[in-house]
Amino acid sequence: MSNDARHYLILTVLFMGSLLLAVWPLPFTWMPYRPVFLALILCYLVVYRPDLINLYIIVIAGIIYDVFNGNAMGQQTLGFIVMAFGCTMLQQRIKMFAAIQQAGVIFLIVGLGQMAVNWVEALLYGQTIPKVFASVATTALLWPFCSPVLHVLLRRGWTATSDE
Amino acid sequence: MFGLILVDHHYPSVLKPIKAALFSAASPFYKLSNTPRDVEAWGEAHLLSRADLIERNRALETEALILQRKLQRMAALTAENGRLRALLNSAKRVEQRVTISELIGVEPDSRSHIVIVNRGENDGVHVGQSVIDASGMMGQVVVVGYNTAKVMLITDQRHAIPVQINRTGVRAIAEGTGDINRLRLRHLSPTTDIRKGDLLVSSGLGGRFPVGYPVAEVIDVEGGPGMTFLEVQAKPLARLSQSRYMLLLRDVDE
Repeated sequence: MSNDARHYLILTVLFMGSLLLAVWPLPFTWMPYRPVFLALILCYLVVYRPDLINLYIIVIAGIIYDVFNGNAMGQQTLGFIVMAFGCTMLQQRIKMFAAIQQAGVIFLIVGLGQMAVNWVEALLYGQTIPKVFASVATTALLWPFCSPVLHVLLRRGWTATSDE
Repeated sequence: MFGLILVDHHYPSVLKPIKAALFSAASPFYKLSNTPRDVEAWGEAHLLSRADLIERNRALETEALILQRKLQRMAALTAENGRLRALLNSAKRVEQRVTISELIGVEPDSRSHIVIVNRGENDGVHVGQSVIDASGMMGQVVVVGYNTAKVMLITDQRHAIPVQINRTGVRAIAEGTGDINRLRLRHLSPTTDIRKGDLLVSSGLGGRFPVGYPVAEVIDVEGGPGMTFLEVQAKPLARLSQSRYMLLLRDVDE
C-alpha cells in the first residue's frame, strides 16, 4: 500500500471516529462542552498535511457532520470552511509555535468557525447556541494532546521500507 | 454554501432524499454509540442471582394478575363506551396499533430534544406518527430514514401539543420549553379553572396526536384576575430521558 493510500485509510478511520464521538451520548449538562474533534483533525491537516486535504473533503465532511447533528445542511460546513481558511492563512506561523501557543491560535480559529455557525443559527432560527465557546475551549485544550498523535499517524514517509 | 443552507431551510423537501439517505447511513454510528447502554442493559438482564430472578418473577406475576383484572373491566367499559357513543351518534374512535421501538441514540445537539429509534420506513414509520411510552405521550416522528427515525420529544422548544385538562375539559396548547421536565401552557385566560395536580391529556385537535393519552401534570399555576394570561407549568408524565422502549402509534386502518 502506498503511503498516501495508507494515510487516506487512516484519515477515513479518524473521520469515522470523530463522527462517532460527535454523537456519543453525554449527560445533558455536558453537551455544550463536547469538543469538535472533526475540526481538530481538519485544522491539523490544513496546517501539517495540506497535500491530503482539499475543499471537497471539507465540504463533504461538514455536510455529513451537519446531518449527524441535525443542523441545517451546510451550517457546520461553513464553520469548517472558515476554520480551514484561518488555518491556511496562519499555516506557516502555526507550525513554528509551541504546542500551547498553537492551542491558543486553534482556539481563535475554531472560535471564528463556530461563531459563523452561531450566526447561521441566529439567522435561521432566531436563537443562539448555548455556551458556544465551551466546545471551542475544550477543542483547543485537546490540540496539544491530539497533534502529537496525528504527527505519528500521518507522518510523511511513514515507513522506511515503503513499497512505493 | 449559503445557497445550500437557505435551500435546506426554506425548501426542505428538495434535499429530503439526500438527508434521509445520509441519516440512514448515520444509524450504525448511533447504534455503536449506544454500546455502553447496551452493555449495561445486557448486564442487568444476565448478571443476576437466582434469588433476584425468582423475586422479580414473583413481582411480575403479581403485576400481571393485577393488570389482567384491570383489563377485564376495561373490555367491559370499552364495549359500554362504544354503545353509549353509538347512542349519541358520535363518530367511532379510531383504534390504535403500536409498533415497539427501541431508543438507539440521542441527537447530540443540546438545544433540541430529539432521540433516534430503531424503526424506519421499512417498518412503516411515517413523519407525524405519535410516540408514547408506558406512562404518557413522548413526542412525534419528525424524520424517517430506512431503518431509523428521529422522534422530537414534547419538551423540545419547537414543539407544541394540543391538550385538554382532564378534570374540566378546557383545551390548551402545551409548549416545550427546552427543559426536559417542563411544559408550558400559553394563552390561558386568568379565570380558567386549572389547579396544581390537574392531569393534561391529548385533545386530538390538530389531527396529529390521538385523543386521550396522558401528557403532563400541572405543577405550578401563577397569576389570576388582573393578569393577561396565566403562567402554567406542567411536568411531562412520560419518562422522556429514561425510557428505552417506546411505542409508535398507528391507526388500525393504515
